[in-house]
Amino acid sequence: MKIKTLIVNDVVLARNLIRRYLDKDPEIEIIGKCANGREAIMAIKNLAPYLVFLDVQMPKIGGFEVVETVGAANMSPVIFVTAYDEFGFEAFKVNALDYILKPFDEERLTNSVRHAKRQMKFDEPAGLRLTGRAITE
Amino acid sequence: MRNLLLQFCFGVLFASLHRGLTVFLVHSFAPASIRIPSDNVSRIFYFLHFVSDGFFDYVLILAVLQAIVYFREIQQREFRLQQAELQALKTQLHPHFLFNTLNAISALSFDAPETASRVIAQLSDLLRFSLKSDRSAEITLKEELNFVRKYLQIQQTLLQERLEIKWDISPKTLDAFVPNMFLQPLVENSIRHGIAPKESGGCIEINSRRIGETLEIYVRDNGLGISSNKTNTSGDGIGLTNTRARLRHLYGEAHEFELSEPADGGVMINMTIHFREGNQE
Repeated sequence: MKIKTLIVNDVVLARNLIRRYLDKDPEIEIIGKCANGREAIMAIKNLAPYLVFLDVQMPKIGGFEVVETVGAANMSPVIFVTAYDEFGFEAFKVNALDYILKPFDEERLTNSVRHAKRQMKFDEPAGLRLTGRAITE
Repeated sequence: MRNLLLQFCFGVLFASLHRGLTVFLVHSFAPASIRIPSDNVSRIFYFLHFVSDGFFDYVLILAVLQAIVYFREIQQREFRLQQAELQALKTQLHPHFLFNTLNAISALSFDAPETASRVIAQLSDLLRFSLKSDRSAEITLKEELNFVRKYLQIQQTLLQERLEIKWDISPKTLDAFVPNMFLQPLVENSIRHGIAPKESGGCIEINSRRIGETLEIYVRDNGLGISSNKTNTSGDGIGLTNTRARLRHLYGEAHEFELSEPADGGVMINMTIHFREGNQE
Protein backbone atom coordinates (compact mmCIF):
# COMPACT_ATOMS: atom_id res chain seq x y z
CA MET A 1 0.00 0.00 0.00
CA LYS A 2 3.04 2.24 0.01
CA ILE A 3 3.75 4.92 -2.58
CA LYS A 4 6.47 3.48 -4.77
CA THR A 5 8.87 6.34 -5.42
CA LEU A 6 11.76 6.77 -7.83
CA ILE A 7 14.51 9.39 -7.42
CA VAL A 8 16.23 10.64 -10.56
CA ASN A 9 19.10 13.13 -10.28
CA ASP A 10 22.60 13.21 -11.71
CA VAL A 11 24.08 14.67 -8.52
CA VAL A 12 24.46 11.89 -5.96
CA LEU A 13 24.28 14.35 -3.06
CA ALA A 14 20.95 15.64 -4.36
CA ARG A 15 19.61 12.04 -4.51
CA ASN A 16 20.81 11.47 -0.97
CA LEU A 17 19.08 14.58 0.29
CA ILE A 18 15.75 13.68 -1.30
CA ARG A 19 16.03 10.14 0.08
CA ARG A 20 16.86 11.40 3.55
CA TYR A 21 13.74 13.55 3.69
CA LEU A 22 11.51 10.89 2.13
CA ASP A 23 12.77 8.16 4.49
CA LYS A 24 10.88 9.84 7.31
CA ASP A 25 7.55 9.31 5.57
CA PRO A 26 6.22 5.81 6.34
CA GLU A 27 3.90 5.94 3.32
CA ILE A 28 6.77 6.34 0.89
CA GLU A 29 8.84 3.44 -0.35
CA ILE A 30 11.90 4.30 -2.43
CA ILE A 31 12.17 1.66 -5.12
CA GLY A 32 15.09 3.04 -7.02
CA LYS A 33 17.55 5.83 -7.71
CA CYS A 34 18.78 6.84 -11.16
CA ALA A 35 21.71 9.04 -12.18
CA ASN A 36 20.61 9.84 -15.74
CA GLY A 37 17.71 9.89 -18.16
CA ARG A 38 18.45 6.51 -19.73
CA GLU A 39 18.28 4.74 -16.37
CA ALA A 40 15.14 6.72 -15.53
CA ILE A 41 13.27 5.61 -18.66
CA MET A 42 14.09 1.95 -17.95
CA ALA A 43 13.14 2.23 -14.30
CA ILE A 44 9.82 3.96 -15.00
CA LYS A 45 8.93 1.36 -17.62
CA ASN A 46 9.99 -1.64 -15.51
CA LEU A 47 9.16 -0.56 -11.97
CA ALA A 48 6.07 1.58 -12.68
CA PRO A 49 6.60 3.96 -9.74
CA TYR A 50 3.69 6.01 -8.40
CA LEU A 51 5.84 9.06 -7.91
CA VAL A 52 9.04 10.26 -9.60
CA PHE A 53 11.37 12.98 -8.38
CA LEU A 54 12.89 14.05 -11.68
CA ASP A 55 15.86 16.27 -12.49
CA VAL A 56 15.66 18.51 -15.58
CA GLN A 57 19.28 18.67 -16.71
CA MET A 58 20.95 15.27 -16.89
CA PRO A 59 23.57 13.59 -19.09
CA LYS A 60 22.27 12.94 -22.60
CA ILE A 61 18.59 12.55 -21.78
CA GLY A 62 17.05 15.33 -19.70
CA GLY A 63 13.93 15.16 -17.54
CA PHE A 64 11.55 16.44 -20.22
CA GLU A 65 12.86 13.89 -22.70
CA VAL A 66 12.25 11.18 -20.13
CA VAL A 67 8.58 12.23 -19.91
CA GLU A 68 8.35 12.39 -23.70
CA THR A 69 10.01 9.02 -24.26
CA VAL A 70 7.94 7.16 -21.67
CA GLY A 71 4.81 8.78 -23.06
CA ALA A 72 1.94 10.53 -21.28
CA ALA A 73 -0.09 7.32 -20.94
CA ASN A 74 2.61 5.41 -19.08
CA MET A 75 4.23 8.29 -17.24
CA SER A 76 4.18 8.31 -13.47
CA PRO A 77 3.27 11.53 -11.64
CA VAL A 78 6.33 13.77 -11.59
CA ILE A 79 7.80 16.27 -9.16
CA PHE A 80 10.62 18.14 -10.85
CA VAL A 81 13.67 18.99 -8.73
CA THR A 82 16.15 21.33 -10.40
CA ALA A 83 18.50 24.26 -9.95
CA TYR A 84 17.04 25.96 -13.05
CA ASP A 85 14.11 28.27 -12.45
CA GLU A 86 13.15 28.74 -16.10
CA PHE A 87 11.40 25.46 -16.90
CA GLY A 88 8.45 25.76 -14.52
CA PHE A 89 5.90 26.55 -17.19
CA GLU A 90 7.07 23.68 -19.37
CA ALA A 91 6.95 21.38 -16.37
CA PHE A 92 3.29 22.06 -15.68
CA LYS A 93 2.50 21.59 -19.36
CA VAL A 94 3.57 17.94 -18.96
CA ASN A 95 1.36 17.66 -15.84
CA ALA A 96 4.06 17.94 -13.23
CA LEU A 97 2.69 17.87 -9.68
CA ASP A 98 5.29 20.31 -8.46
CA TYR A 99 8.49 22.10 -9.41
CA ILE A 100 11.05 22.24 -6.60
CA LEU A 101 14.07 24.53 -6.87
CA LYS A 102 17.42 23.54 -5.44
CA PRO A 103 18.40 24.11 -2.74
CA PHE A 104 15.30 23.04 -0.85
CA ASP A 105 14.57 22.17 2.76
CA GLU A 106 12.59 19.37 4.33
CA GLU A 107 9.43 21.42 4.61
CA ARG A 108 9.41 22.23 0.92
CA LEU A 109 9.75 18.55 0.03
CA THR A 110 7.20 17.25 2.49
CA ASN A 111 4.70 19.90 1.36
CA SER A 112 5.19 18.70 -2.16
CA VAL A 113 4.69 15.07 -1.14
CA ARG A 114 1.50 16.00 0.74
CA HIS A 115 0.22 17.76 -2.36
CA ALA A 116 1.06 14.69 -4.47
CA LYS A 117 -0.77 12.36 -2.09
CA ARG A 118 -3.86 14.55 -2.19
CA GLN A 119 -3.82 14.54 -5.97
CA MET A 120 -3.49 10.76 -6.03
CA LYS A 121 -6.41 10.25 -3.65
CA PHE A 122 -8.48 12.68 -5.66
CA ASP A 123 -7.70 10.87 -8.87
CA GLU A 124 -7.99 7.32 -7.54
CA PRO A 125 -11.74 6.73 -8.08
CA ALA A 126 -11.43 7.81 -11.68
CA GLY A 127 -8.68 5.30 -12.25
CA LEU A 128 -5.89 7.80 -11.82
CA ARG A 129 -6.12 10.30 -14.60
CA LEU A 130 -2.63 11.47 -13.86
CA THR A 131 -0.93 8.15 -14.23
CA GLY A 132 -3.13 5.88 -16.21
CA ARG A 133 -2.70 3.24 -13.56
CA ALA A 134 -4.01 2.51 -10.08
CA ILE A 135 -2.25 3.92 -7.04
CA THR A 136 -2.19 0.66 -5.11
CA GLU A 137 -1.88 -2.88 -6.29
CA MET B 1 10.65 61.89 -42.04
CA ARG B 2 8.09 63.27 -39.61
CA ASN B 3 10.96 64.60 -37.58
CA LEU B 4 12.39 66.38 -40.60
CA LEU B 5 9.06 68.05 -41.34
CA LEU B 6 8.78 69.13 -37.72
CA GLN B 7 12.30 70.57 -37.83
CA PHE B 8 11.41 72.45 -41.01
CA CYS B 9 8.30 73.98 -39.41
CA PHE B 10 10.31 75.03 -36.36
CA GLY B 11 12.92 76.42 -38.70
CA VAL B 12 10.36 78.62 -40.48
CA LEU B 13 8.87 79.71 -37.14
CA PHE B 14 12.31 80.55 -35.78
CA ALA B 15 13.20 82.43 -38.97
CA SER B 16 9.95 84.45 -38.81
CA LEU B 17 10.55 85.39 -35.16
CA HIS B 18 14.13 86.20 -35.98
CA ARG B 19 12.97 88.40 -38.81
CA GLY B 20 10.32 90.09 -36.72
CA LEU B 21 12.88 90.95 -34.03
CA THR B 22 15.38 92.21 -36.58
CA VAL B 23 12.78 94.39 -38.28
CA PHE B 24 11.86 95.82 -34.90
CA LEU B 25 15.51 96.54 -34.05
CA VAL B 26 16.26 97.97 -37.49
CA HIS B 27 13.25 100.25 -37.29
CA SER B 28 14.18 101.42 -33.83
CA PHE B 29 17.92 102.00 -34.09
CA ALA B 30 19.37 101.58 -37.61
CA PRO B 31 20.09 104.54 -39.84
CA ALA B 32 17.46 105.25 -42.47
CA SER B 33 19.63 103.96 -45.34
CA ILE B 34 19.39 100.28 -44.40
CA ARG B 35 15.74 100.37 -43.39
CA ILE B 36 13.18 98.36 -45.23
CA PRO B 37 13.00 99.35 -48.89
CA SER B 38 9.78 100.96 -49.97
CA ASP B 39 9.05 99.30 -53.37
CA ASN B 40 7.27 95.90 -53.37
CA VAL B 41 9.88 93.83 -55.32
CA SER B 42 12.70 94.89 -53.03
CA ARG B 43 10.51 94.19 -50.02
CA ILE B 44 10.03 90.56 -51.13
CA PHE B 45 13.79 90.06 -51.57
CA TYR B 46 14.38 91.76 -48.26
CA PHE B 47 11.88 89.44 -46.59
CA LEU B 48 13.37 86.32 -48.23
CA HIS B 49 16.84 87.42 -47.21
CA PHE B 50 15.81 87.70 -43.56
CA VAL B 51 13.91 84.42 -43.56
CA SER B 52 16.75 82.47 -45.16
CA ASP B 53 19.25 84.12 -42.85
CA GLY B 54 17.15 83.17 -39.84
CA PHE B 55 16.73 79.64 -41.16
CA PHE B 56 20.48 79.29 -41.56
CA ASP B 57 20.99 80.41 -37.96
CA TYR B 58 18.43 77.86 -36.85
CA VAL B 59 20.20 75.07 -38.75
CA LEU B 60 23.50 76.14 -37.21
CA ILE B 61 22.12 76.07 -33.67
CA LEU B 62 20.50 72.72 -34.38
CA ALA B 63 23.79 71.31 -35.67
CA VAL B 64 25.62 72.41 -32.51
CA LEU B 65 22.92 70.89 -30.30
CA GLN B 66 23.01 67.66 -32.30
CA ALA B 67 26.76 67.51 -31.95
CA ILE B 68 26.46 67.84 -28.17
CA VAL B 69 23.81 65.11 -28.01
CA TYR B 70 25.93 62.86 -30.23
CA PHE B 71 29.02 63.41 -28.12
CA ARG B 72 27.06 62.58 -24.96
CA GLU B 73 25.75 59.40 -26.56
CA ILE B 74 29.23 58.25 -27.45
CA GLN B 75 30.36 58.88 -23.89
CA GLN B 76 27.43 56.93 -22.53
CA ARG B 77 28.00 54.07 -24.93
CA GLU B 78 31.60 53.78 -23.78
CA PHE B 79 30.47 53.84 -20.18
CA ARG B 80 27.94 51.09 -20.87
CA LEU B 81 30.62 49.02 -22.59
CA GLN B 82 32.82 49.27 -19.51
CA GLN B 83 29.90 48.36 -17.29
CA ALA B 84 29.16 45.35 -19.49
CA GLU B 85 32.70 44.14 -19.18
CA LEU B 86 32.63 44.57 -15.43
CA GLN B 87 29.32 42.74 -15.27
CA ALA B 88 30.71 39.95 -17.44
CA LEU B 89 33.60 39.56 -15.07
CA LYS B 90 31.35 39.46 -12.05
CA THR B 91 28.76 36.99 -13.23
CA GLN B 92 30.99 34.26 -14.49
CA LEU B 93 29.92 31.90 -11.76
CA HIS B 94 26.84 30.27 -13.19
CA PRO B 95 23.79 30.56 -10.87
CA HIS B 96 23.04 26.91 -11.58
CA PHE B 97 26.44 25.98 -10.16
CA LEU B 98 25.78 28.08 -7.08
CA PHE B 99 22.38 26.49 -6.35
CA ASN B 100 23.59 22.95 -6.99
CA THR B 101 26.48 23.57 -4.63
CA LEU B 102 24.18 24.92 -1.92
CA ASN B 103 21.96 21.88 -2.35
CA ALA B 104 24.98 19.59 -2.07
CA ILE B 105 26.05 21.39 1.11
CA SER B 106 22.55 20.80 2.45
CA ALA B 107 22.92 17.05 1.79
CA LEU B 108 26.44 16.96 3.21
CA SER B 109 25.36 18.68 6.40
CA PHE B 110 23.64 15.40 7.36
CA ASP B 111 25.98 12.77 5.92
CA ALA B 112 29.37 14.46 6.26
CA PRO B 113 29.33 17.70 8.26
CA GLU B 114 33.12 18.14 7.92
CA THR B 115 32.87 18.00 4.15
CA ALA B 116 29.93 20.40 4.24
CA SER B 117 32.02 22.84 6.21
CA ARG B 118 34.90 22.49 3.76
CA VAL B 119 32.66 23.11 0.74
CA ILE B 120 31.20 26.19 2.44
CA ALA B 121 34.74 27.54 2.87
CA GLN B 122 35.61 26.78 -0.76
CA LEU B 123 32.44 28.39 -2.02
CA SER B 124 33.02 31.44 0.16
CA ASP B 125 36.50 31.87 -1.31
CA LEU B 126 35.06 31.67 -4.81
CA LEU B 127 32.36 34.19 -4.03
CA ARG B 128 34.72 36.53 -2.27
CA PHE B 129 36.99 36.49 -5.28
CA SER B 130 34.28 36.88 -7.88
CA LEU B 131 32.44 39.61 -5.97
CA LYS B 132 35.55 41.68 -5.54
CA SER B 133 34.94 44.94 -7.36
CA ASP B 134 38.47 46.31 -7.59
CA ARG B 135 39.88 43.48 -9.65
CA SER B 136 42.76 44.24 -11.95
CA ALA B 137 42.58 43.07 -15.55
CA GLU B 138 45.51 40.71 -15.04
CA ILE B 139 46.74 38.51 -12.19
CA THR B 140 49.47 35.92 -11.86
CA LEU B 141 48.82 32.40 -13.08
CA LYS B 142 49.34 31.18 -9.51
CA GLU B 143 46.41 33.31 -8.27
CA GLU B 144 44.28 32.29 -11.22
CA LEU B 145 45.00 28.60 -10.56
CA ASN B 146 44.09 28.99 -6.89
CA PHE B 147 40.66 30.18 -7.93
CA VAL B 148 40.14 27.49 -10.57
CA ARG B 149 41.36 24.78 -8.20
CA LYS B 150 38.69 25.72 -5.65
CA TYR B 151 36.06 25.83 -8.36
CA LEU B 152 37.07 22.38 -9.58
CA GLN B 153 37.16 20.95 -6.06
CA ILE B 154 33.53 21.92 -5.68
CA GLN B 155 32.66 20.50 -9.08
CA GLN B 156 34.30 17.25 -7.98
CA THR B 157 32.13 17.25 -4.89
CA LEU B 158 29.10 17.56 -7.16
CA LEU B 159 30.15 15.16 -9.92
CA GLN B 160 32.26 12.88 -7.72
CA GLU B 161 34.11 10.17 -9.63
CA ARG B 162 32.72 11.44 -12.93
CA LEU B 163 35.18 14.34 -12.97
CA GLU B 164 38.92 13.80 -13.08
CA ILE B 165 41.45 16.66 -13.21
CA LYS B 166 45.01 16.49 -14.49
CA TRP B 167 47.35 19.39 -13.82
CA ASP B 168 50.55 19.92 -15.74
CA ILE B 169 51.73 23.38 -14.75
CA SER B 170 55.31 24.36 -15.34
CA PRO B 171 56.62 26.06 -12.16
CA LYS B 172 58.34 28.64 -14.35
CA THR B 173 54.95 29.93 -15.48
CA LEU B 174 53.42 30.54 -12.04
CA ASP B 175 54.41 34.19 -11.84
CA ALA B 176 53.33 35.00 -15.38
CA PHE B 177 50.55 37.52 -15.93
CA VAL B 178 47.30 36.16 -17.29
CA PRO B 179 43.86 37.74 -17.75
CA ASN B 180 41.89 37.76 -14.50
CA MET B 181 39.37 34.90 -14.30
CA PHE B 182 39.97 33.59 -17.78
CA LEU B 183 40.41 29.90 -16.91
CA GLN B 184 37.24 29.34 -14.94
CA PRO B 185 34.81 29.93 -17.86
CA LEU B 186 36.89 27.54 -19.98
CA VAL B 187 36.78 24.69 -17.47
CA GLU B 188 33.14 25.47 -16.77
CA ASN B 189 32.38 25.04 -20.47
CA SER B 190 34.26 21.75 -20.49
CA ILE B 191 32.23 20.49 -17.55
CA ARG B 192 28.82 21.81 -18.63
CA HIS B 193 28.99 20.83 -22.28
CA GLY B 194 31.58 18.07 -22.32
CA ILE B 195 31.69 16.09 -19.10
CA ALA B 196 28.45 16.60 -17.16
CA PRO B 197 26.30 15.50 -20.15
CA LYS B 198 28.41 12.33 -20.52
CA GLU B 199 27.23 9.43 -18.40
CA SER B 200 30.70 8.08 -17.66
CA GLY B 201 32.07 11.57 -17.03
CA GLY B 202 35.53 12.57 -18.14
CA CYS B 203 38.82 14.27 -17.52
CA ILE B 204 40.04 17.86 -17.80
CA GLU B 205 43.68 18.51 -18.43
CA ILE B 206 45.17 21.92 -17.68
CA ASN B 207 48.64 22.58 -19.00
CA SER B 208 50.93 25.60 -18.97
CA ARG B 209 54.44 26.12 -20.27
CA ARG B 210 56.79 28.83 -21.33
CA ILE B 211 58.20 28.69 -24.82
CA GLY B 212 60.72 31.46 -25.39
CA GLU B 213 58.89 34.71 -24.90
CA THR B 214 55.43 33.21 -25.00
CA LEU B 215 53.18 31.59 -22.45
CA GLU B 216 51.14 28.67 -23.71
CA ILE B 217 48.15 27.39 -21.80
CA TYR B 218 45.75 24.74 -22.88
CA VAL B 219 42.57 23.27 -21.40
CA ARG B 220 41.55 19.95 -22.82
CA ASP B 221 38.69 17.62 -22.02
CA ASN B 222 37.64 14.21 -23.29
CA GLY B 223 33.94 15.00 -23.06
CA LEU B 224 31.26 14.96 -25.71
CA GLY B 225 32.90 17.46 -28.04
CA ILE B 226 31.16 20.18 -30.01
CA SER B 227 29.82 18.27 -33.00
CA SER B 228 28.08 15.57 -30.97
CA ASN B 229 26.78 18.01 -28.41
CA LYS B 230 23.14 18.91 -28.36
CA THR B 231 23.15 20.81 -25.06
CA ASN B 232 25.48 23.35 -26.61
CA THR B 233 22.97 25.28 -28.66
CA SER B 234 24.47 28.71 -28.17
CA GLY B 235 27.59 28.31 -30.31
CA ASP B 236 30.68 28.42 -28.19
CA GLY B 237 28.81 29.94 -25.28
CA ILE B 238 29.01 33.16 -23.32
CA GLY B 239 32.25 32.06 -21.69
CA LEU B 240 34.26 31.86 -24.87
CA THR B 241 32.80 34.98 -26.46
CA ASN B 242 33.77 36.92 -23.35
CA THR B 243 37.22 35.39 -23.28
CA ARG B 244 37.84 36.26 -26.93
CA ALA B 245 36.66 39.85 -26.44
CA ARG B 246 38.80 40.31 -23.35
CA LEU B 247 41.93 38.88 -24.94
CA ARG B 248 41.49 41.22 -27.90
CA HIS B 249 40.93 44.12 -25.51
CA LEU B 250 44.04 43.28 -23.44
CA TYR B 251 46.55 42.13 -26.06
CA GLY B 252 45.23 43.33 -29.42
CA GLU B 253 46.51 41.00 -32.12
CA ALA B 254 49.40 39.77 -29.96
CA HIS B 255 47.68 36.60 -28.82
CA GLU B 256 46.30 33.32 -30.08
CA PHE B 257 43.12 31.68 -28.95
CA GLU B 258 42.02 28.51 -30.66
CA LEU B 259 39.30 26.01 -30.10
CA SER B 260 39.79 22.61 -31.69
CA GLU B 261 38.45 19.09 -31.55
CA PRO B 262 41.24 16.53 -31.16
CA ALA B 263 40.87 13.34 -33.19
CA ASP B 264 40.40 11.23 -30.04
CA GLY B 265 37.43 13.30 -28.85
CA GLY B 266 36.61 16.21 -26.57
CA VAL B 267 37.50 19.85 -26.94
CA MET B 268 40.85 21.57 -26.69
CA ILE B 269 41.41 25.28 -26.13
CA ASN B 270 44.83 26.75 -26.75
CA MET B 271 45.85 30.18 -25.60
CA THR B 272 49.17 31.84 -26.34
CA ILE B 273 50.11 35.24 -24.97
CA HIS B 274 53.31 37.18 -24.43
CA PHE B 275 55.22 35.98 -21.35
CA ARG B 276 55.45 38.69 -18.70
CA GLU B 277 56.43 37.99 -15.11
CA GLY B 278 54.67 39.72 -12.24
CA ASN B 279 56.52 38.69 -9.09
CA GLN B 280 58.59 41.86 -8.79
CA GLU B 281 55.54 43.90 -7.84
